[in-house]
Amino acid sequence: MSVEQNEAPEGAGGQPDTDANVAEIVQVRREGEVAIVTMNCPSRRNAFSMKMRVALIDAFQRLVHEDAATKAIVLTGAGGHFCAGGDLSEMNAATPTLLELRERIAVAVRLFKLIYAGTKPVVAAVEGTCFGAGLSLAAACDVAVSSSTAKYCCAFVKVGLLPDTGLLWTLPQKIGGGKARELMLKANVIDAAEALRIGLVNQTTEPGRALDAAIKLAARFASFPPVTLALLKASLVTAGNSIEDAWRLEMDLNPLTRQTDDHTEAVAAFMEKRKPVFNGT
Amino acid sequence: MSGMHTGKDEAPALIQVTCDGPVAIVTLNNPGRRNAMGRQMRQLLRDTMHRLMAGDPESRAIVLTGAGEHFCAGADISEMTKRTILQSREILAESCVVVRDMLAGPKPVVAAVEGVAFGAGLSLAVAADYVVAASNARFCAAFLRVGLIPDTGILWTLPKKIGMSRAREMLSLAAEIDGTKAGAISLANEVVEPGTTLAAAIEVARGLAEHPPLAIALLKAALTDGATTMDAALRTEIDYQPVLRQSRDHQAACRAFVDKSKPVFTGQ
Repeated sequence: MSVEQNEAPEGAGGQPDTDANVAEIVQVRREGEVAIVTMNCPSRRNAFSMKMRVALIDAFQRLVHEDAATKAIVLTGAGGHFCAGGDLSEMNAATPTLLELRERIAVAVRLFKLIYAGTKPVVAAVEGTCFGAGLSLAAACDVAVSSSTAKYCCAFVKVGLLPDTGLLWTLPQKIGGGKARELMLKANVIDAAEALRIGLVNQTTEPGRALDAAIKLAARFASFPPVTLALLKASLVTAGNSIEDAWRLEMDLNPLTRQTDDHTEAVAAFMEKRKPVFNGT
Repeated sequence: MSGMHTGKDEAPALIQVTCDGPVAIVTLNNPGRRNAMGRQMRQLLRDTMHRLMAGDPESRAIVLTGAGEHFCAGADISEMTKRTILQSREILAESCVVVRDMLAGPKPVVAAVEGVAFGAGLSLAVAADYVVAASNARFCAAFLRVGLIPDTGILWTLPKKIGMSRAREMLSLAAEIDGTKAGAISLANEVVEPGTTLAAAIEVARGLAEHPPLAIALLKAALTDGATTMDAALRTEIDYQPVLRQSRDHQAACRAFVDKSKPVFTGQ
């Protein structure tokens, strides 16, 4: 695949996959083993429109499942903002049927699963606005790096909607049920310092530096054995459901990781005091 | 604020309800015993909370507080005399109903905590969506001190609210923490000067009462029962969100956003 410019599916019918096509709503580039996915609709603060959803699914589907050279992914937004959330201009249009609406949400859920329950670690790099579904995307990532001037808001209830795109699950898991209820019910804006304090984001940076820090963090993930990372991400989806689930996962999965070449290599490198080289087997 | 007694005719009622605009204020009212919950208060609270949640279209948010200088000292130990196992089960079941209404009922609940919130009093505060605490309020899961396991839902609600590590500490040490510490561990959402919790709680509740009622109702239901696993949470958003997208309140909110006006929500 070309990782320089990623075609939005709507435009995929024969348009060349080149830099000349400036309307790319999602851009993908690579730094080493880290792929950087950029939501690119700055005039709408990268709103989570249907077009954006489909383009993100296309990008993540390829990076997670079809691109062995990518070991970790950074998700960010163009133009100084992460994502302003759902596109209200789309919502104001003629009301779709319940079944159509279910399909639209199912699309967001597909994207969420690729990020949260996929096989590769994803780091959010947040500048500016991170509202509504933008917050859902950041919370779906394994870790989030935030500019000190970024703003966060679980805005859904203000427009009469439930938090979606996985946020009903991820926010209580990440910051605890008490804080999650507060942010979801109040729909108040919080700053990056508060987001760091409550564990919504993992690190803050100077304004404009979130992407660099996120790439650095993603490169660290990329240095770990990919099979183990994939199994760890899968485990974390269900390990917290009950202690029986957690025990079962460690009994089922740890013997598998013990038999990987990468584990053998890591032990050998430790004994020989050298840096391990992992090949993903 | 207009006063309104509930329950028994003789004053003072152990549970009082007053209204402040769209906010119903429920007061545990037995200040001589630090609002300790005897059986009568427990039953009145259960019935009052259920009526406000299910049968009171005037209110859109609820504040729970205690009369006098305290929130609630917990179960009334003077009633903890000889009780059969079956009688104890009945009493616990009564508490379960109120906790369930607070967690999953359609209206947000804000607790205003002054003084002590011990034992079942702590459980009630934890069951609220939002806790406003006086900086010198005293929180304690005192159950172990009287040889009981934590009840009134707190085995579930406390780990969910503040995380398992801190919940284990609070429940198993039965040590007291103050309002400031409660704020630091996110047990309290807001910490204020002593004596000002009720006003602050009413202000929060008024803000919550401005949100679309149906979205709040489905959100509370989803957070209580609908998001117990990742797959359950994803199923819930696919099932619930389309209904909200078709609600008049959502459409009013979208129009107001475009017009830059203030939307009026009817709950439809």
